[in-house]
Amino acid sequence: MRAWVIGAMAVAGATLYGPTAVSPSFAITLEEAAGSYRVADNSQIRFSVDQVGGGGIAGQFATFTGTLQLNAADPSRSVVVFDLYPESVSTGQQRIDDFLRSAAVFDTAHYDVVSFRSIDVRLTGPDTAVVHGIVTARGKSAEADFDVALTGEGPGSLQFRVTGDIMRSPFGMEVGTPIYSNVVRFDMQLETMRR
Amino acid sequence: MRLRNDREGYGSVSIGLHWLIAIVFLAEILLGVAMTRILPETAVATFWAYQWHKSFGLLLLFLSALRLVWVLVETRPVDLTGHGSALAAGVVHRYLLFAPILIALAGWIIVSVSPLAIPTFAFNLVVVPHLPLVPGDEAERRAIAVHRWLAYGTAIIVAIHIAAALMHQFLWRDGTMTRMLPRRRQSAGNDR
Ligand code: HEM
Ligand code: HEM
Repeated sequence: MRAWVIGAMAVAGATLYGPTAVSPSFAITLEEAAGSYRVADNSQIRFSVDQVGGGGIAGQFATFTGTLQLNAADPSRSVVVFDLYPESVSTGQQRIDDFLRSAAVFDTAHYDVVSFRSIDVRLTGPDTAVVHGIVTARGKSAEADFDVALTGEGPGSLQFRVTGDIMRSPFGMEVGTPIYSNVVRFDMQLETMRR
Repeated sequence: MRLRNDREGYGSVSIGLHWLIAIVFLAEILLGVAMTRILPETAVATFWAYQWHKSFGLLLLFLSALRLVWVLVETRPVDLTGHGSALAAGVVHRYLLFAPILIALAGWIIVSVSPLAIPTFAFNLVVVPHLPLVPGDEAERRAIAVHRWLAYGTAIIVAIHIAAALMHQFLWRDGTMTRMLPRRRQSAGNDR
């Protein structure tokens, strides 16, 4: 049986498996794809926060680690683990970066990691899934969903686009609302390499 | 209640605007000092201090523009001193009519040219657009310098203005202070 895989990850990530789906661009079977992957450094972890009157803050995190365990027998039990280091935030504005690192937002002096741990993975299409899990930042945790789409595959690698909206308030990071939206929009391009 | 001025004294509009502007002006100086020199640079409280400073500063711009229009259409009460201070008072009052407007415009220019592009959401109610200027670090530094020197310079003039008011009241006892006070106090203080 030819199965179509898509996986995913990051502050999201996952895998999915549509046994009957036909996805002409990705000719990799789940059996072939199953296994353990790590998120490569050339992945892009972008985020944006809207502001009143249009525009907003956009930036990225340069330092992160992550793994993906693609489960062939039951893709919904695939596991995504992702950690990002908010110290590595950059928006193109030093003063904004300093503010984001400060106790007003990430408080990197006391909390150096923002983590995501998946709970389950739900297939939503031949190449797409929703990864449900827990985000922990500043010592507080909240559930979150990320949409994952398989965007490419190569020898020993899978690429995913991962998007998701995270509320700031559950983590005590709501400074600036309502001038700045409570919602942080993540848009990540993940390059995963077989381990 | 008398709204308009006459040759002898101020109407309620002039009096109300004067004290409203005086209170907000002094609060703006205190907020400006607190947010730039006392509070930590990166803190939730500092962020909000800046936003309140912008909101009240723009309110002051509005009130001062209103007062300027009012003064232009209104009778100016005659000076009560009878000595040389009338000219000084005239110059100071004219300066104080324009100063808050200039300071607030300079503040508005700061936030408009700041590369941080932080929106001005006055009192979390009204988005006040940035002025159509080209942002840049250098432009921001210059606008801050103008805003700062105008603000502190005016604070010194206001201190002189307050000292003069107190002298009129306690030294010369010429009624200059009482005619700027709310009307109830005026009658209580004057002829009752
Ligand atoms: C709390 C301190 C203040 C006191 C005690 C005070 C007192 C007075 C008094 C007694 C007058 C009447 C002068 C006269 O009739 O010849 C006056 C007029 C005036 N004051 Fe003040 N003042 C204060 C703060 C301010 C501030 C902060 C400003 C401006 C930012 C200001 C601007 C003016 C102006 C423009 C006039 C001319 C009258 C008018 O156009 O309304 N004053 N003030
Ligand atoms: C008449 C009204 C105002 C007064 C008296 C005033 C006064 C001040 C003072 C005393 C400071 C501290 C300067 C320093 O020590 O460096 C300050 C800073 C500042 N003001 Fe105002 N201000 C007024 C209106 C405004 C308005 C309307 C805005 C913006 C819409 C504004 C924006 C700012 C900003 C952004 C700073 C910080 C500059 C920095 O980063 O150093 N101000 N203001």
